[in-house]
Amino acid sequence: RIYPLMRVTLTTSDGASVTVSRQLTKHSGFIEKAITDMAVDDNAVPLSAVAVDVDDATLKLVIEWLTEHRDDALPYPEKTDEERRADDIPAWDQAFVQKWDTKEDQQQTLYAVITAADKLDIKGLLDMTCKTLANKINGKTVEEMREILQLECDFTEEELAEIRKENAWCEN
Amino acid sequence: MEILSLPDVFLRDLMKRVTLVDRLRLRLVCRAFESLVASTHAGHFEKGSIEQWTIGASTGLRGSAYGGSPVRVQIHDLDVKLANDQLNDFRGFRNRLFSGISVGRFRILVEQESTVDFVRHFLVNCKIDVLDFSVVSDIVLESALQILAALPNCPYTMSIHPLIDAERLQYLPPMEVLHFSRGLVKIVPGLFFKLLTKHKHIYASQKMVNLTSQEWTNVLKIISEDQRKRTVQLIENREKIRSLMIDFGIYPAASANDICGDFIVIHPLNDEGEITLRHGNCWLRIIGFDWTVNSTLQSTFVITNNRNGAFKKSMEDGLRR
Repeated sequence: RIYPLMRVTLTTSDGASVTVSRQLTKHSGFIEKAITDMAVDDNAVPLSAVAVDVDDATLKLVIEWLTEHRDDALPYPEKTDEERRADDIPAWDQAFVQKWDTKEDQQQTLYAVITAADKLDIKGLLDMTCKTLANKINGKTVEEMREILQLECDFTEEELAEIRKENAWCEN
Repeated sequence: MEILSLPDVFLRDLMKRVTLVDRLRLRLVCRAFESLVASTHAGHFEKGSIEQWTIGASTGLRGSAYGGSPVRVQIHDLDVKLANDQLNDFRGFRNRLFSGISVGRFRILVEQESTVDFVRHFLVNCKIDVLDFSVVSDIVLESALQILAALPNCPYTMSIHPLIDAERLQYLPPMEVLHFSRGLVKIVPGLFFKLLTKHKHIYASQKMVNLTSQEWTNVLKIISEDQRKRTVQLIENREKIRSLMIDFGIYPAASANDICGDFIVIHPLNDEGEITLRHGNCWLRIIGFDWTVNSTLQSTFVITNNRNGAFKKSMEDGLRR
């Protein structure tokens, strides 16, 4: 049982400390495992600090998302074969991600949150960010994809022509 | 940070959420993405098909809607038309487009040996929930058997069109749904019972077998005693059903909950010509019936041990085929 008032202190990779409710951290497989590994009394207040390999700015975004999703059911549903939808992102999550669009490093922020979600083992956040990126790519031209993904073309003209020739089968 | 340094689990999930046409475009982004496309699973798609429409020319079932190439591969937004001499090259291309794929229902209609080989190779590392064969000739049936031999554990359904040598149907491995389209040559009761004991659901769109009252009772017994949820839908002459009802002990004035011989009347005959009966652990629903003598019309006879799901489903799926 997790008591809403129980709190845990997280220390970030850049030396900051953030204290959050266990109601939020229960969504992080990494933090929950760390607490379990400490073998401390669940009733101890405060719990020992847990070090997370995430910087302070990104952790704040993760905590903002966790706060909104604190009541989500756990465990997070296992993915099935049928799950390939990307158009079912909740409105709050869409707005949460769109806020970054004003930032110059919007894509870097998304990548940082994805990496943090993976490190902290927050399946819901990883899933949402995956859908977000898939939506950005879907239906775009090759040039648009390169721009979104911030990648340079490293093919020769001959190689590109060869791939286009193969792809042409499917573009009749 | 760049996208290719993101966690592998994320990239693999991402590649399951883009469409197949998007994968084509992603191949062109850069070398790393070309490699990522080739090495990742494409995810799940509801439907797919490989069809060889030259068959249409011989049966008239399919028009010559497509010019030139004889094989068409369709999965979601991927739609490829291939000439016979392109099949080998396309096998290699498929391996560069995804490492695996999952498809809910995959329809196959092929008749040439070379295409059977192509299908076998195409389906390597594919997870198919149900293979759906459309059998329009004996050659196509042979092709289907060869493909099934390569995929022995894959559930499948088969739609049998006219011109099939019915005796060959006895060699089919057990399937989920065997559907007889209109125009099938009649089958003898012996073969029908072989099919009935082997396949889970059987739907007929027109009368295909002449059964005696005792044989009808045997059909009910087989369905009633089967632990699996099963449905059989047959078409029978109204006159024959009338005679059958009399043999069963059902009479025109029977009302709900009446016990007539081994049957219980669940819903008596209504104005729409439907009557529902229970026999042991199975239910019968006869649709399009009346007690008129000398009627030349036909009725649909649905027998199931899964009353809640099967009546509705059989009407929606079976009759629609």
